[in-house]
Amino acid sequence: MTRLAGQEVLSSESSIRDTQLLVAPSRDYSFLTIRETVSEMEKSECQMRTRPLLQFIADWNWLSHRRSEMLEEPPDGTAELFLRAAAASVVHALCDRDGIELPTWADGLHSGKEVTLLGDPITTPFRERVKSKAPEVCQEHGVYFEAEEILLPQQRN
Amino acid sequence: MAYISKLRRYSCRNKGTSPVYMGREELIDVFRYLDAELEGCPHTDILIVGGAAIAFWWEDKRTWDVDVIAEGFPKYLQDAIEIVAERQALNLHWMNLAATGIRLPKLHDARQRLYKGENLEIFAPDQQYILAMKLQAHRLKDLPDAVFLAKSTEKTTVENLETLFRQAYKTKPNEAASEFIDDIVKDI
Repeated sequence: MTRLAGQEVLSSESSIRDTQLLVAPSRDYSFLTIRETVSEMEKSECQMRTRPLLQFIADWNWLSHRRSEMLEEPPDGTAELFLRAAAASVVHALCDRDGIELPTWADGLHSGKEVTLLGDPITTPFRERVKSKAPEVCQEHGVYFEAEEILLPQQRN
Repeated sequence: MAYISKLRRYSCRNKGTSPVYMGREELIDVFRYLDAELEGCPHTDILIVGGAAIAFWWEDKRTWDVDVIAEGFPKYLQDAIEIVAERQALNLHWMNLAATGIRLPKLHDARQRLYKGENLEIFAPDQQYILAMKLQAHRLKDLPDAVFLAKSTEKTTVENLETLFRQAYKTKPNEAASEFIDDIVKDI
């Protein structure tokens, strides 16, 4: 029987080193476009709405050669403003980091109020902290998330 | 197989397929697929945490990945994970080690078996253990899961949650974790 190395320390006092780079993909895979992402967010329950965006970020980070395809089509203009602004905030942060031109649909798209990526207004110390740790470009969209959320796998520790 | 059409919930296009958000039922399906791919390999125990474990306890929970605690995947397992991803139209990161760097709680781990197959068994720590991990990470994206776990373990006050943190990490929560705890209690 194989118990994966590292599992035996679950109840011990040591933490485990991060080894996620050991699982870099060896093949090409599918991905979520930004249009699909917003569409999926619309279908999700409130508390699950960020999941498609997190997926988009993961795809963006792993599949760097597919990024232009991920941005090919803008989100549906009839989608809820917050969802489009949240997508714009994430896309802006990723484009800014990677030196990619921001799509025109995202430029200046603001949610109309200051909220976290979960859609909650910035009214508690925790949400203020999230805002303070957000990429600078989030301000343009009024939707905030921790900058560490978009770290590349090799930047995580 | 019958599972495939159900798992491909999102539109397939020429360039590929979109990822799948899995609940308990779908997770069991993909574990079965992985189990089948591991035929002839050493019997493997896997410890999972995070959203996939929560999906076994929370009917509404959906996740697109399975976080494994381990120092690495042996090649036979990584190969099987990739084959399942390809055949079942799952995202390539559907099973990953992203949670491995998180500081682990010093709590008794009442491990539960979530899946038992021919070649594969999947386990998870108990809910309290995973809640402690969420408190320690105190990330925005974890807030909904933390609220669920706090309710489920009946740790619904700031005092309860701070006590759990102290038990798990032998220190009081830092300012950021305390703020996270306050937001959990507000959202309960």
